Amino acid sequence: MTGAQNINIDDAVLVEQCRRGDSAAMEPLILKYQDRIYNVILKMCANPDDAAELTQETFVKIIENIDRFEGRSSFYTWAFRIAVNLTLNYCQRSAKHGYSSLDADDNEHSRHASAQLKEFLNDTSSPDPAAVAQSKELCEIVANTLMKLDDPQRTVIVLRDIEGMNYAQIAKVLDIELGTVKSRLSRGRNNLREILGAILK
Amino acid sequence: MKEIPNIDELLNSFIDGELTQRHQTEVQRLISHDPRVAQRVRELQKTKMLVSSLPTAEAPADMAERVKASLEKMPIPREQPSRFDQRKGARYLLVRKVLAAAAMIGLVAVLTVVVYTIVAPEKLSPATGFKARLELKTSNLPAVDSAINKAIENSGLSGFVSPRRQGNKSVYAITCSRDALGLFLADMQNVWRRFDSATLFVDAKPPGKQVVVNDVKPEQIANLITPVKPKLTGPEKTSETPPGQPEKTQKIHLTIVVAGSE
Repeated sequence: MTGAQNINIDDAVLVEQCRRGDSAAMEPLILKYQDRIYNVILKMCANPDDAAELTQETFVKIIENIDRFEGRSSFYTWAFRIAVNLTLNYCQRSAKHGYSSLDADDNEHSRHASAQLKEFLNDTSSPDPAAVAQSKELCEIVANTLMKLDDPQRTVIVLRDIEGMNYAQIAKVLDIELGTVKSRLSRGRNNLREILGAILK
Repeated sequence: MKEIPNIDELLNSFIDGELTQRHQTEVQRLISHDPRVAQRVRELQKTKMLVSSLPTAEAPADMAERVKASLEKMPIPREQPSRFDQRKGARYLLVRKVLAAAAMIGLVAVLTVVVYTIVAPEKLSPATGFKARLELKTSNLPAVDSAINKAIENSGLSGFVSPRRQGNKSVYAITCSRDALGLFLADMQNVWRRFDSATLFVDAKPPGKQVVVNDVKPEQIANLITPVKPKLTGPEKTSETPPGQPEKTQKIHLTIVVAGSE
């Protein structure tokens, strides 16, 4: 991701410094998590400006409420809970997800990407990550398809497949049961594939 | 595949590495024995791959500055006292309440004393007051009455005397200051020779006990009612109290009984 991800400072130390009013400790916390939080938010709302705004709002809320963080969960899941809640509220409020219509993108590049994606999905061979990541158009199709999922399913998929959280962490962030995480993830992936299949026909 | 409930959930957990070792082994066996399951796992892996291969976006480089600026724009929040501070605050509040209550009690006590001093009826202290009865005998009661009334008038005691006649006796109950009585006694010196006898009964401690002074003279009475004062080097303090008005600490009660001789 970025260099900020490699900052290896114990969250608990930084959080404690923040709680004591040490404003200098805020910056390492922001630098450590800004890209990961921004990336999750962007994949959920698909609007870079709104994602930046929501990321900023997340950190403001984190700093404002740092005294309420009791350490029962990790700072990581607590911070992401704030980010996800803000983003879900935003999605409900705005009802505009910012994705472009796939039908409107009917140019040669997108046609090529669609064909590539169709082949990828229909191929019985094992998946090749490089084949997906190298095509910008293909990524756009996937990102836009992700936005067609309902919010709860999209959130679980983003936290699992974008942020890389395990099921227990997702359950904590969303304050839901582990079984709910499994069912949402299963339905979400299934729906994602069905939507993609319908688009690529 | 359809016979196994939630097979997709199981397979998703498998590709996400969320199964226990035993379940992981079971699913692997299932994949190797059932091509449909193997195909489904591949589909799920590809779907997962599509999402996880999306490029990672980076937050704006100035995110920390944005956050700081946003915090600076916000109104300063009221300090949230910690639980320790709240307990400390509760103790402090309790101490304050106790101190306030004590101060109120003290204030009420002081006010009570002040109000009592102002409104309570003044008691005659034996040390500061003087209560006596002067019994006089004369063969010419009308002349003596006249002289006494004149002396009362001259000394400004008219408003402080209650004269009454009891048969052959005239009674003058005087309540006045020492100075006023001194003036009265000075005026009475001219008529003193008309008395056949003059006896003074002075109330003393303990209550009910009396000191009797036979053949008493006006100057002796004046001496009795005049306390010993320390000598002042400065100008004498002029009394703002009217001549007849009894002073608070020098109130004199003198009852003069003039009896006509047979």
